[in-house]
Amino acid sequence: MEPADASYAGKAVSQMRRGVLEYCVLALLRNRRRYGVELVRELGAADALPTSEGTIYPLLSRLRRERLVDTSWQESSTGPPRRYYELTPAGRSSLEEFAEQWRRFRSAVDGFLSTEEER
Amino acid sequence: MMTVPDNPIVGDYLRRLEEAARDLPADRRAELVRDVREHIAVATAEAPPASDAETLQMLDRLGEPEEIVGSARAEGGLAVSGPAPSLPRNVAHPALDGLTVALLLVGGFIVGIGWLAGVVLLWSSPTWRLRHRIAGTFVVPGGLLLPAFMGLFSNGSCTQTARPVRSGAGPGAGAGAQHCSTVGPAIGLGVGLVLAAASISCAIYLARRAYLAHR
Repeated sequence: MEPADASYAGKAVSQMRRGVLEYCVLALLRNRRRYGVELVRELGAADALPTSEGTIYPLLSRLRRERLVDTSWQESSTGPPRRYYELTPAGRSSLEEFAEQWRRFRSAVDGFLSTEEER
Repeated sequence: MMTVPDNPIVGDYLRRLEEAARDLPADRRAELVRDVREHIAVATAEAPPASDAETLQMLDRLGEPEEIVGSARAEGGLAVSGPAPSLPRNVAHPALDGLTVALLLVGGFIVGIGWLAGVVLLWSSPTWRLRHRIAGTFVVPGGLLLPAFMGLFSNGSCTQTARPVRSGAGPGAGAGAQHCSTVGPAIGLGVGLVLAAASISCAIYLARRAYLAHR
């Protein structure tokens, strides 16, 4: 859900969430494949969804077009078959590259923020 | 197609989604509607809503159709709002652009008209930028016709000086070739070769542009 506060900082954080969302999706697929509703549920539980649940599907569609994820069907004992998403080798290396850059970015920002706090 | 609950609330939601997505490219629209249908089918199978209120809650979490379609536009690199821009009036066609390059190169041999047709095509297809149009028109007007003419002319003057009276091929041809090494015809031939090279380079430049534009 969109954060209620539309403050200046709130907007920046909202944009950042949007930017990293696809890597959160790729990270959720790192160890096993998942279906759409499952991905939405995990992201929602971690408060990682910047907007409504439905907006994840255009994102998944793009990841598939960019060959970062692959899909396959699997029957389920409860209800309809599920469309499962899984990482491709390209998706895996993209995720690893992002994880590395994110670590550096995060420590740099943390460095600035803690310096400012100490003043 | 995945079956969704036979509920007018769900039906209305999907209709609104299709309506909001009508200006997306057909394949994207179909994929988006399919994915959302699947989501509803799976979500209701896993936690069957006990009332219309719960169905509405599920759809509310899913989001407004306009919002989902907006996300699809953003992800697809499509215009964020409004209908897709209409196509330019002159639509580029790969075959026509290929013909344009061919006509500019050798069209001059079709009583000169072929090259002019090439110029007209060059200035009307949206494939070409101004620099291509200027290069195609002015670098070697007439294409290979001009260098070919210069080559023939230099040969012609050569045979005239060498063999003014006798006609037909014979031992005299060798003598004619010797006379050709005078300065005038050599310059004609040289300029002709340079113009031919320029004309062919220009054609390659245009062909490359057409190839990249239609790739």
